Amino acid sequence: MMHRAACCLALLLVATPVYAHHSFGTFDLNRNIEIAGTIAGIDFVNPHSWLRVNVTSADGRVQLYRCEMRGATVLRRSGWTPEMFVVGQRITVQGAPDREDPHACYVNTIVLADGRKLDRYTQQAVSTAKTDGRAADAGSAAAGTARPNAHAVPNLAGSWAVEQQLMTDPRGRLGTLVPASRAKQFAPGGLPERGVAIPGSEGSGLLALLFSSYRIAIGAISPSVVPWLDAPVARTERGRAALIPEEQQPRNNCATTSILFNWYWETVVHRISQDDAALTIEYGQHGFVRTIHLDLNQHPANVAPSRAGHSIGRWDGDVLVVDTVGFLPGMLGLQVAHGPNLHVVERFSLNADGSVLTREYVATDPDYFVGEYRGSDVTPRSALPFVTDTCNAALNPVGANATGGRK
Amino acid sequence: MSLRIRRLAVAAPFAEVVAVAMLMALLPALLASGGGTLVYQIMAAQRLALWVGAIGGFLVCALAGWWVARLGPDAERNGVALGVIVAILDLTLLAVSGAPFGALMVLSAIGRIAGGYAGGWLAGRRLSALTVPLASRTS
Repeated sequence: MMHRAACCLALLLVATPVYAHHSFGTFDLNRNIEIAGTIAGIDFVNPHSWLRVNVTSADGRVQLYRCEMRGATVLRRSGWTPEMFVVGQRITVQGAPDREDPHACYVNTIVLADGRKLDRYTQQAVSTAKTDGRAADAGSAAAGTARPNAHAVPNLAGSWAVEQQLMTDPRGRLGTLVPASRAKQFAPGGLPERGVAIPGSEGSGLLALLFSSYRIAIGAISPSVVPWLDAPVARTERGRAALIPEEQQPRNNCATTSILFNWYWETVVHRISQDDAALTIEYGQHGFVRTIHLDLNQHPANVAPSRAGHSIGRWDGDVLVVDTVGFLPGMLGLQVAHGPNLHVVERFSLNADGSVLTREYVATDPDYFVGEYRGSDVTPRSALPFVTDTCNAALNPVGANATGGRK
Repeated sequence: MSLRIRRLAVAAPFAEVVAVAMLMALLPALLASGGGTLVYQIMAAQRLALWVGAIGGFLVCALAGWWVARLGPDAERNGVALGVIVAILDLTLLAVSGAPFGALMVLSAIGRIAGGYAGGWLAGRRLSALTVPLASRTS
């Protein structure tokens, strides 16, 4: 019990899986390294990208370094492209070293051959053009046509992406994640009111964790400032037993977690297409697609269980109400498991000009958690076209099949 | 009135550290139980903190107040002094840590002062119980 409590304290808080993913793993942010060399390649993938750099030592030997960057989707949303990293060009990387691998690092700042200096969270001009030959986004043209005519139902078609989260320190060493639109309000490393620094960030040792635990108990830190947390639900015995270790979580192994979670996680770009009979949602990761049947009043008797489940939708005025059953057992969110009897009801609505999609949801599964798992998200239309970014679990240091992250 | 300054200077910070440690342990202990999501446990920890702040503060200050006041004069006053000092330390720490003003502050302060008084009272009773037989033997 003591050991378990100590582990919880270390992971704790806020050391929720949110931060287990958006945190620093074995990187030591209290130390700095700088490497200069030539670009050997880049793995521009989710959930983390890796820059490979050849560094020539004084005796002429070449050593390959691997430096971890943000995932491909968020890099793309920040205006970064793989084409920025030309093999053979000079590059300097300032970062934090890995505690276990002397030839790995966490990128804070890079200086490219043309002199451009980019911090980890630098936001560049985003090209909305199709750049890689993958599916262009026909739906994005639907922006501004929320209601084609007075008698039609709202048009949800288009590409959508939840607002990106950036660290308040553009180098990614200090502070916490905040919505991109608010990031400039903070001094580097600043915290929102009642916020907390990500465990493992520079200067946040055990004492800081202990102090955060105290501040949470006294109400000085609010969970509402931490993005993407699960709804406050208690687990049943079965729900407790069904929890899986962090490294086996679907999100760390390039797999879909749930219809709720994967809509907002990683702030990827999704695409919705719509006709009278169905609404199709293509999620921006793992090729996950769900179909919402608008021409059915009830679920078929024998639904084959799937991660997406079986969805039927009906219009309640301007609100699309979607009822989904028939799930494969799995994880609903970060810390909540579910079984085959999960039932999800979502309500989708557009704002007046059709530029923002709001989703409210309620999930129930009395076998696994007590009461209702409620939440909502607000998703603007995406300036970027829909693409499915490559995911490579072997390059995720947290994943069960991690190989590249430590080599 | 004679305050036992040295004992107060040792016992007050110690009592506050122990009381704060109880609050620090709340969330990790709840999380270790695996009973709910992080937000669920944070909400539970914040509810429990009201009780732990008040009752834990009372118990710790009762013990510290008893230790400060034992074997000396003005036991109850020394106990109350201990409680007041710990309450001031606690309120300062809460304010510096960004706690919203509310029930936690009030209950914690009351618990600490009451605990200090209770500890001093206990120490005073024990002292009386020892001194009365001694006095009757010498008379």
